[in-house]
Amino acid sequence: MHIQEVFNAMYHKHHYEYLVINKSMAVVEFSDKIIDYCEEELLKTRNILISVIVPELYGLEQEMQEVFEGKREVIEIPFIKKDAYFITLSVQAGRKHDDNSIETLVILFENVTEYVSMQEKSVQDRNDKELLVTELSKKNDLLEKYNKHMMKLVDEEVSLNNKLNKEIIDTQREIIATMGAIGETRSKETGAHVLRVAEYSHRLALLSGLNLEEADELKMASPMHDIGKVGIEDAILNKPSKLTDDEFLKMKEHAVIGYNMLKGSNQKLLNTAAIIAHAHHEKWDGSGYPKGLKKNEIHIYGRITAITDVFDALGHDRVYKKAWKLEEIIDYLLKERGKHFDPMLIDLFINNIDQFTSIQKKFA
Amino acid sequence: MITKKIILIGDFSTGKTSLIRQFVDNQFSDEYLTTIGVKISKKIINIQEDLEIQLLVWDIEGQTDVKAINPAYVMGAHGVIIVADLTRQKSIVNIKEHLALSSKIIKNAPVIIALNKSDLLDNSSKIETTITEIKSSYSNISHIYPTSAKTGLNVELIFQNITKSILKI
Ligand SMILES: Nc1nc2c(ncn2[C@@H]2O[C@H](COP(=O)(O)OP(=O)(O)OP(=O)(O)O)[C@@H](O)[C@H]2O)c(=O)[nH]1
Ligand SMILES: [Mg+2]
Repeated sequence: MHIQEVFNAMYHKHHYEYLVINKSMAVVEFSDKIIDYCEEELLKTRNILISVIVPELYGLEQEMQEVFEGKREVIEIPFIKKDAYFITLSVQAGRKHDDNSIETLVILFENVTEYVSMQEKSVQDRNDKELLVTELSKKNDLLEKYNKHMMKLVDEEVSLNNKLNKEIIDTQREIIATMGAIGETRSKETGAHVLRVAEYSHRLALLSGLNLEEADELKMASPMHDIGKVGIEDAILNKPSKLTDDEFLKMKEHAVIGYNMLKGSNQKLLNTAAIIAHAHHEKWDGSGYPKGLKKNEIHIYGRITAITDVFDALGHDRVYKKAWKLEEIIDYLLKERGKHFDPMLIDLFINNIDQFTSIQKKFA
Repeated sequence: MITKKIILIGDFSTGKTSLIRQFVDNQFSDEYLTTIGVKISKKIINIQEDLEIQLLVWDIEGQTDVKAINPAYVMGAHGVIIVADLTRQKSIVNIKEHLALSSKIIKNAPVIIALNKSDLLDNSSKIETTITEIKSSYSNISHIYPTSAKTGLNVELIFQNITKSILKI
């Protein structure tokens, strides 16, 4: 039986076509419809090399040799895309000599277009999906990086804000100290006076149960309690002898002047300062000025400053008097307990007098 | 005329088909049509003034997690271009596997690595570090190029150089 008939019979229904080559890799036979896959012109050329007709086999001379020698059973190149279809090439032993050695190789062309088109969509889908996943994870990485960057920016922003806030507070404090100092220069009181009063007030505020924020607020605002004195004429302010009733009335105005200077600001600190300036000469029993308020009508900041201001003033020389001794001061404070001063605050003050004398030493 | 078989292997969607398309037809498309099996293109190039070489360029289905490269496509190649996608780290890591496959099946064939899609990177430091890393991991690979099938960067060059390496000129 002719080999062509064998293959025709075997492979007909599988859409196989074939070429047969001899040991010199030249084409010796081919099936009828092989021209579907190879150039007819080339096929007609005598002794043409297989790799010219089937370029897919170019470079595989050694492998084909191995098939001839029986060292390799088959060379199969699956799914080769031609213009409109796919083929699978397979090279295997053909006719054998009597001694069983291989005389020819058969190259089979199988049309696998149908099989590939069944696979095509699912491969494309899978690859597209895979790409989408990688794309997403890239985006996620980016997002993470971006988030980290944002967090860093926010952190920086917050710390910048904190810094700015602190600057504002520092500036306010400086302004207040300066304003307080202006009042002092005019009244020839020492710069240390307002400072000490601020420290005592802070301490007493904490002892009385105010929280740290309130105590700080009081401490910062307190240097301005006498700011209104800038509106009092020098002759009265620095008079070395006792003031006349008229002069005293004028002097008393400093509380209201200070209040008017400081009130109406939208700065909490200045408002606090206004309260203190207004209230620090009020007395517990209602005999103080400018409003004659009583007991708890007087703001706690005012009641605190009333004690600390007097305590410090008595302990130091003034234009009109010499400094008092500590016992004399304590006696005075106790005598004025419930009259000038809030009795509860006086008790706290006297009971913790050590704390105040040590502040006095520290800021002397 | 001298004919040489050059294969392009690498992970799926790294741009093998696009590089060949740019090289053979001077065209590029953004569309992704995955290659099934293999497709062979022919192109004649001039290496020197009167040295024309016919290249058989094998565009091979890319490797995916579920499908390795068919070794039959690698057999008989005279030169190998391994294509990785600079924007996809895994495709760069997998260069190792492609190198192993080609050196197992073919001996002494020159290899060029194309780091493709370089047009998508907006700073070149990634390219430099990748090249340095590859060079230090595979000391025998001397030809590593950033490429772009989109802009055409180094496309002609990799085919020229692989052919020169094959011919040892
Ligand atoms: N920006 C850019 N895109 C590219 C480049 N090369 C390829 N692409 C795109 O990447 C996608 C995949 O390109 P292909 O050439 O099909 O990749 P492949 O390696 O042949 O893929 P498989 O055949 O599936 O292995 C396509 O959408 C291309 O447009 C390039 O250099 N730059
Ligand atoms: Mg492709």
